[in-house]
Amino acid sequence: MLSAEGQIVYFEAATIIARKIRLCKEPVILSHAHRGQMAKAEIGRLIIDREWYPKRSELGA
Amino acid sequence: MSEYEKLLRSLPLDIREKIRDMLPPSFEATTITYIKGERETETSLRDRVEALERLATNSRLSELPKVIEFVDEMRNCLFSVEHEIELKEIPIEEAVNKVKEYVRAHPGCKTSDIVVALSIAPEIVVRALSILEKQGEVEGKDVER
Repeated sequence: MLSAEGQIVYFEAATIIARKIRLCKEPVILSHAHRGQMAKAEIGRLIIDREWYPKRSELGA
Repeated sequence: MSEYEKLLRSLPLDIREKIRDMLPPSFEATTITYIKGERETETSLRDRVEALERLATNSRLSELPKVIEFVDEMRNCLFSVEHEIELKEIPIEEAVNKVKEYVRAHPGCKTSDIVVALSIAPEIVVRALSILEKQGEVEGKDVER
């Protein structure tokens, strides 16, 4: 994902496939009401997930 | 010294020797690469882990937790190898057909679900989805909370 190098990519769902993934135990405060976790990864791919549906014509609707 | 070696060294000598007898000579619990090279002996490795489990249940009570910990590590190692997913690079035409069938059978599936279920490299899955979307065969939607 060369185009995303050095950028922040916002996502609702993503999957990381990497040589090494380290989940940091400390909670991260993203905003006053939004806490989360952090994972660091090395040499891999980040898939920004989308949901996929057959087109309606495919379903015969 | 690896975690495996530390764990092994913490066990009483007689138990340690029994464990060493049951494992391949250079086996290291934290190195899955070794088992990958020994793929053909996976069944015998499973037999050895089962033998270790029997040893754990027959061990003296004070040694039991450490032996169980060791067996757990062995099992995890074996599990990792048995359940590893190989993401294959296949021709794009083949990928397009497989992805189309998968989406038809699993409406609402995520991109990563397709990658894992079909064991196809993510680059190829993403390319196949893009082709199918342009052809009007599938429709992608952003994941909503």
